[in-house]
Amino acid sequence: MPRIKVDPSDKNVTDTGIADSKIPSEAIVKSESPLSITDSDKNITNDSELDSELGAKSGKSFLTAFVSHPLGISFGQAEVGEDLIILLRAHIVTNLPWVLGTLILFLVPFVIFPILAASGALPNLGMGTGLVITIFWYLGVFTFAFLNLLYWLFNVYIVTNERVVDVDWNSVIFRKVSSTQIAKIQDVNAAQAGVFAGIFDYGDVQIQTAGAEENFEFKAVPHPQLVAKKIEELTQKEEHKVPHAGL
Amino acid sequence: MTVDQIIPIFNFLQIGLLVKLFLVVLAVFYAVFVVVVYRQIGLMTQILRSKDSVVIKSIAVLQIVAAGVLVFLILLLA
Repeated sequence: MPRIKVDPSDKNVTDTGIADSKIPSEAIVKSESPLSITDSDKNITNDSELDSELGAKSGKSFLTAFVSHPLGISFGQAEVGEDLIILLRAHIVTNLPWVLGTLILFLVPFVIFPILAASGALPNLGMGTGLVITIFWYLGVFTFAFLNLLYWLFNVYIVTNERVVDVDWNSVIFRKVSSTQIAKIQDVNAAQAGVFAGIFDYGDVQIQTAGAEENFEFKAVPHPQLVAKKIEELTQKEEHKVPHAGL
Repeated sequence: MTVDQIIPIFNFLQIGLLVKLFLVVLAVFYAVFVVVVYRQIGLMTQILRSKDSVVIKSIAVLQIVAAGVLVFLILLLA
């Protein structure tokens, strides 16, 4: 493109220095079609909207049920180049039953034992035995609470850019890690039922996989529609990947 | 002391010993259980790594220590 030279001696130059310059025709590039937003541009906009929505709803600490692009948390079985996109757990509200149970168990010695002692139902075992039993009781209550917390912490659902992973740890001696490739996902559904689920926005995400692969279900996870949308987006990206031609 | 006076004491001692034995066995089972829990935590933190895993492991270790102290207390006090 030729450079446009402004002659200072030009009489058309105003005090502000703006001149009526002639723009060479070569400098004008006419587009054959008006500027249009392509589908790929729309997808980029939608991706960033979805990601920003995920980020907005994401928790910040390890003790959270919904984390988008978690920092400081990694999946031990991740492959090279595999990025953790969403880390999910059951909604924190689902912990209410065992929390209440812990509270009741904690208060039992203060309520039940004096009643039993007054009624003479407790055998006279001595101070030492009573102390040991009390310590044992509270250790048991602590173990009950700690185990339930661990089950909640380590029962996670992970969505990466390549896979969907379900980590199950429902009892002390049983754990299971299942995964499936994003490309093998055929259908994703989000379901939300119940009053609490509606109030706290949690539900199930059902993932149907191809062929003989087992189906996945994310139970009681926060923002199930958002999770389903993100997984769908990842499956669509997998479908649109252009296969490399062999040279 | 007559035999009639000794027998109730002996019975009480037996009950006390039985309770102590029961508590010791329970405490040993509890100690084994918390060791298993600690082991499982170690395996799970290998799957899901986080900087907060240290806190969880520390709590599990404290539990093991508490179980050991409990066994000791039962033998000493009960």
